[in-house]
Amino acid sequence: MQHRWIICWLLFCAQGLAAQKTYQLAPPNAKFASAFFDKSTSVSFVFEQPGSEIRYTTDGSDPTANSAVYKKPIAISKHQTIIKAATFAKGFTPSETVVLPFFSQGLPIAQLSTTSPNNKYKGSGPTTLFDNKSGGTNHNNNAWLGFDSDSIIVNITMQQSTNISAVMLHVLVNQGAWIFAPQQVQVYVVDNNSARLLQTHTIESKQQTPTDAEAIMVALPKTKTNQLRLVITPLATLPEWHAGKGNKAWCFIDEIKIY
Amino acid sequence: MKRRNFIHQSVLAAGSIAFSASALKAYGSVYDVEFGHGNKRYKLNEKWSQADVSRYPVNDCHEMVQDKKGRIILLTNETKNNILIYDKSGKLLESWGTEYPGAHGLTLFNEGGEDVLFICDNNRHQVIKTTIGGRVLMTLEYPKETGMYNNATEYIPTETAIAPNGDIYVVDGYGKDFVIQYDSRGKYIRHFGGRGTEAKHLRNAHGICVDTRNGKPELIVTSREQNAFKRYSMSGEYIGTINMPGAWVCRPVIKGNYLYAAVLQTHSRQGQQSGFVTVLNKDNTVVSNIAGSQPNYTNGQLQEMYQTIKAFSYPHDVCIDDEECMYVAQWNSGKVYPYKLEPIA
Repeated sequence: MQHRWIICWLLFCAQGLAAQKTYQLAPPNAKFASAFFDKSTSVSFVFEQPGSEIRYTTDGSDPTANSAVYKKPIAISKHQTIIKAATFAKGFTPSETVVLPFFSQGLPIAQLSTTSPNNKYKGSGPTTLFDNKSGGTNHNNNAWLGFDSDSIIVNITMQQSTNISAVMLHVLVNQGAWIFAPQQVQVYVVDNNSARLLQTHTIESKQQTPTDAEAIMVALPKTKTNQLRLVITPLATLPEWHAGKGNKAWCFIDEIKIY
Repeated sequence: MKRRNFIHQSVLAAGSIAFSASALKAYGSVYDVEFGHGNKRYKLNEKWSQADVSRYPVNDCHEMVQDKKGRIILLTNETKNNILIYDKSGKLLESWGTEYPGAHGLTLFNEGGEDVLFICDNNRHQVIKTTIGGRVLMTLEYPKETGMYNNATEYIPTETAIAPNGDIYVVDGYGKDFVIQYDSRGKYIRHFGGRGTEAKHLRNAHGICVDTRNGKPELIVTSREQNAFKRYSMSGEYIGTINMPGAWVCRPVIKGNYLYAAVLQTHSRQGQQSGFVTVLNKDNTVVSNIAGSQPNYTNGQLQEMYQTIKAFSYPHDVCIDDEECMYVAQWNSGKVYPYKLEPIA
């Protein structure tokens, strides 16, 4: 008898509570100059919702109700720092997590040339690829070079001959707009007009990822050079699950870095 | 046996009510979400509409007005019933309209004691004046008199405002962003606004209203992609800009001393169902954002605004009724009926 009482009461309460709606908070509003920085940069967040807190991490883990509370701009000086932040408040579902990776600007590039992008997505020419500016996630904003060719060839001359260990390609993924990460990146060292293949990096496309910029980091065997060639192969056929299956995907790049 | 059961149950029920009432009270502050700021705070009711979705569906809910009988009129681009007429409690009273596939703008005007409606149809490239019951009184075609249009498809009217003297102002918010002024019979008077680089120009002139809060009537026009409202005299001279940083404001709606507007989305989170509702006082200072950030003026400058609570997806219009309750119609939001917000005294 006692038991049934308690169970019934609990059920009734649960029903009453379930009938109320719990709203989710929106993510915090992030402000930063660019994902690419010279010596250091900082990111600030705002979220003017009384009773709420912004919590963040710098170690790549997802923020929880126990993560550090955001109070002032977060200084960043380490290459490949990932800042993750979310909002929390009593009575609300925490927001989705904002993920902001930051990259150092790498070795200075003197010159860069590339196969022509599509006429509609020319950015401000090849310098777009080493201007240290983030392109955001809108492929129409003139900060991205958009390619619909079978391959993209990029020739890079650095300011001086240096030891290099990696090449990074910052690309856009917006699968609904047929924009995918490339399927392959090959890196060549160029000496006296002859090119030597250093590395072949292949990328598996993932299904239904949200629209976002992605960094493709290609590790290289240590090499000293001042000239590189990248041969980038956009995804040749859109996968089975995609509305445009069988067609060629677009490839959008806003920045190339050498480390 | 039966009788025992009955008694047992009623005892249980009584006990449960007492217990759960206190339990709910304890959790009350957690679950009773207050939206907005200052003296413009509201409780949100998502289940206001009692319309039967199988019989009276909606697509995009674009705009809402209240008529002189106190009824709430909704315009949707669902051609099964472009107009749904509700009472304030959400009971559907009437429906009409099957010929407005691009139904977008809805304005009500009291014309010598009679309510009339002005519908902007994006697809038909027309403005249609009707009686409250749906009888067509006048159709305004594309404004070739302006000399700015080659054909009707360049003209995609989004909103109208009617001056006290009956002049009709149409904004071509999805076309060339002109404001076109006609007399009450539909005779072209002038046009202004349009695209360009000067302050008087517009970008996505999505809404317009006549503002009589400061005595002398003037026009407030939305420049949505610029996140701003722009003020003009009734004859089209540019007066000034009300910056709404971060907010894709839809049409301005005047009620009492306040200006209300649905914010389709947050500028920094475009395409992510990041809308809210904003409220400005008589001085055009933002005093409340419903499901949005607390308004913050630093050195007199309004700081960027954004959604804070995911209560709305893409709000497209608000209507404030005679009891100060707010109705929110949404675009591209899963075909939801309008929500109602009741002020917190």
